[in-house]
Amino acid sequence: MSDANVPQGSSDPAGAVGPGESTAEVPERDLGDAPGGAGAGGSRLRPDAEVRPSGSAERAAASGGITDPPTHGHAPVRHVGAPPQGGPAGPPGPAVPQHATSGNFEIDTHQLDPAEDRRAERRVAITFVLTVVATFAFVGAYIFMKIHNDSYGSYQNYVLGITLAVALFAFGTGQILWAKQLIPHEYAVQDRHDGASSREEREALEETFLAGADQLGIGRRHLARRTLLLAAGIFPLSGVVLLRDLGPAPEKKLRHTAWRKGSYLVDVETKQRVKLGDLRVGAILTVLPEKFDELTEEDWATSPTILLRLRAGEDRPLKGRENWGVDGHVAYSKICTHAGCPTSLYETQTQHLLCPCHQSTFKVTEGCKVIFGPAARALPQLPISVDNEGYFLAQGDYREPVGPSFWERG
Amino acid sequence: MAVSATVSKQALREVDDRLGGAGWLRKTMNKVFPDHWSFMLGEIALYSFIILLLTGVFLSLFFDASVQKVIYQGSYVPLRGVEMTQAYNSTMHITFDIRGGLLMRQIHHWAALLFLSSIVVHLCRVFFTGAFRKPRETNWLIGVTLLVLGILEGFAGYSLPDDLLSGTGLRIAFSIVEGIPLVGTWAGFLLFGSDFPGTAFIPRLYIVHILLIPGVLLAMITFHLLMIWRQKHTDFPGPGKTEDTVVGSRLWPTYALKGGGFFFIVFGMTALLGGLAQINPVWLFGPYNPSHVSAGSQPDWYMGFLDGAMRLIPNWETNVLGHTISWNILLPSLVLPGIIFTLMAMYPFLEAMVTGDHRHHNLLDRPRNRPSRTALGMMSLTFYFILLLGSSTDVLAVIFHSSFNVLIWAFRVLLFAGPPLAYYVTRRICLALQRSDAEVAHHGVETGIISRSPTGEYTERHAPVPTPKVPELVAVGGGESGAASREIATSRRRGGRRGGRGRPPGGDGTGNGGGVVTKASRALGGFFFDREEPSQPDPESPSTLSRR
Repeated sequence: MSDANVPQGSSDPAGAVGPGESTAEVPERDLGDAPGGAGAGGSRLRPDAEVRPSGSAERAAASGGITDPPTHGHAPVRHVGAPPQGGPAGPPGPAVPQHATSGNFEIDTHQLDPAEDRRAERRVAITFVLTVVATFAFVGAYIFMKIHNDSYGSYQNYVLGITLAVALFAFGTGQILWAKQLIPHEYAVQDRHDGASSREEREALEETFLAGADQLGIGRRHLARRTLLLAAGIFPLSGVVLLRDLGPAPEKKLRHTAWRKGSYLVDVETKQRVKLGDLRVGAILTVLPEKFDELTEEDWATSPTILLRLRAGEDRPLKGRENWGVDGHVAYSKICTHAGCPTSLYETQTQHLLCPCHQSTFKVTEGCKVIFGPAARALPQLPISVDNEGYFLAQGDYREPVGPSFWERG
Repeated sequence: MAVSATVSKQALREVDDRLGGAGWLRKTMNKVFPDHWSFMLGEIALYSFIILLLTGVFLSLFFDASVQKVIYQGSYVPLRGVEMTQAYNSTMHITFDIRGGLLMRQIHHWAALLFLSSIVVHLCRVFFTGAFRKPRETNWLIGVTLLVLGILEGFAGYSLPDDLLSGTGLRIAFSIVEGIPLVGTWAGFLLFGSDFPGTAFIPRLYIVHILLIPGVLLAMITFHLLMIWRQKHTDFPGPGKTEDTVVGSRLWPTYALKGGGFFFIVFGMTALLGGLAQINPVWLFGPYNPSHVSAGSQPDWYMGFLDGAMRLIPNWETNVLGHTISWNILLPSLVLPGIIFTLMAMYPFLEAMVTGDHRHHNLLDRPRNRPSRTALGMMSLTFYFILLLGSSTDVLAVIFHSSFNVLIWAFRVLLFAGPPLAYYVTRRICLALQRSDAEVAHHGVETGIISRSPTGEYTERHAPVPTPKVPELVAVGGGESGAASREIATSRRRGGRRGGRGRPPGGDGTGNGGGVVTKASRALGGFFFDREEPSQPDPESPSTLSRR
């Protein structure tokens, strides 16, 4: 509703009151739907805030010019003492207790231009009709459309989403339009009644509490109090103990993988053993121990290993690991030593292995030592050799735990 | 009309006959709510939660949180014949074979993002306007708890489909648990029922996601709302606004209708996003396989700050007496959020301690009028957003053709240099805005009209400030007189304890070692109020303004 609809001055219809009139003298009209004592709440309104036009203060400022304070008489306004007395035509109800009255509500009852009022109601109705239409469209799309096309794009999903959204938007918009354009604007002021209770009530509470505590004797009965605290501290233990069987003891499980002496290296994609010459220089392959259909989920998580082929002489093995590789082929754990993601990005030019989760970077030619990022330890190396036919096999399990650190790791 | 009025009356009487709540119900209908756009932010969070409950119930009718291995036979051909868990399989079923299933999944995910986003923005509103002050500290604490629970709930939710991305997230979660000193290994094995990944965790997480956390969230949201109900909403200072009253429109009918309508607007927004904007396309990621990962793995945005911290941390790890402490896990994923959320929870109490302001506040502050608080807030947000951006260093490196090593170092430096800079800049901006306000309050608005006096002097005419604006300009203390807060400031500097009402003698936790604490809080108090005065028109001087 714009200010254009707000009649300036007080040429208001019957029932509205001029500014400054006391709330108690307000004639009752349609809004008095609750019984009560008129004006019992007392006027908390200051003179300059007493009458508020339907718009906000800024609007008043905008329309009235900057020098015009938002004072009286912008719009016909009814003060409704809370609660107003009696119904529209009914006799005054019984007096409502004082404590129930806590506010003043000024309702802007200026009459909309009837034509504008009808238009506003029609706008509201249109949104609700739109909700109905969109809902039918939703149902239609649900019944008649294919759930997805051949390339798995789901036109049905688009249509369902749009129709549902339109229905919901329209339904919500209708309600808000109703609230904004059909309900008379009101400027309601209510006491907060917050903060502390009255002094008497507080003291009564304290007395009640302390009297009870005294009867309880919590201050005097040391033995009972201490054993109570002891018991309260101890009895939740049963609940804690019950959690023990949530899982097995860690034992040495984090120290071992599925690799054994003589396990063939098998490509996880093709499930074939890997042979000397299968890998080009600079290539990388993810391998698991053979017969991995027998591997447990946990083995799948701990045992993935990267087999890489470096140029001959490029690898600079660590001391004691000189014979852990074969002809430029080296194998390292794929599980990052930071947070356990698979370190699967390999830069052939720089021989960097990169973890995609937190970008820890490992230098492959130098024992996969950490050269950047949050990982603290080099990737563990798997010692490998080849059998007579040239198939890669492990010389044994990893010599150190793979994956992230843990307390007992040492 | 007459008929429906009779029916309504009859219905109300039937209710009152049984419950006898006519007085209460009438008071409820007459309850007044203030109106400001920023008060809708919390509503958005509430409505997103309701949307999450509705769509979540739908999803739970079809989702099967089992890690039983099955071979996919559904209608998404690229994955046919692939072995996957029942959790992933049922997610695929919801997506491709249940009509509207994809829509519900996407609305659910979008609503989850909206839930947490609106909580964070709502929290910023509450923080920067000082709505957390007495008597609303309890509700602030509930709000912080809701945020933490919401983050956990979101993580649990997107971990359920057991796709490649969520499986990677769970792997990191296991590593984080493993990284806890002393009990980490055991805790991990108990939570997961074995070494990672095990078969127990997803069903357990499902119960946590659909029962445990939502139950707690629901209870705490209810309590949050009851507190607002009881304490009534805060409001900005303005004409007719006082500490003792609330001004706005009543619940029945205006506010109820507006609130109800707004729920459907929010729902409609999530439906539009769910229909048109793809989110978490798990069929493209494929089922989880511990040896696979996709580049650019990133969590939902609200986990991003933790992910960023995990990336920026140097590779610290210590080994003492055969025991390993992985600081590179512990610090970013547990210590850091612990500190962030503890400080956040304690802020209202810290501020009250420092300022000595223990009064009731129902009127809000303008952020500029509390330069120190606003600057602290911006400092924290800067810290947070650098961490959040830090979680996309790999993507940023690609976009800007930069080395991510350089980016990581840039973020490490920014993380420590950015917040103090943000603090300083914000503070200066606040003070400058205060001065400009004071200027307007004292001298009025420039009209652009130049007049010449008979003596030949040219002056620009200043118009008085429009009355509705005046309280905003001068209400430094959130509606209380500026002199009062200045008095506190001054007494603080002198070491006084003004404004200490409501502080039980010696029982406020600062009693022990009070000397140091008192001195520190006194020093901080001076700092907090430092240079707050420029905005104060001198109350003694006859001003052109009529203060409220």
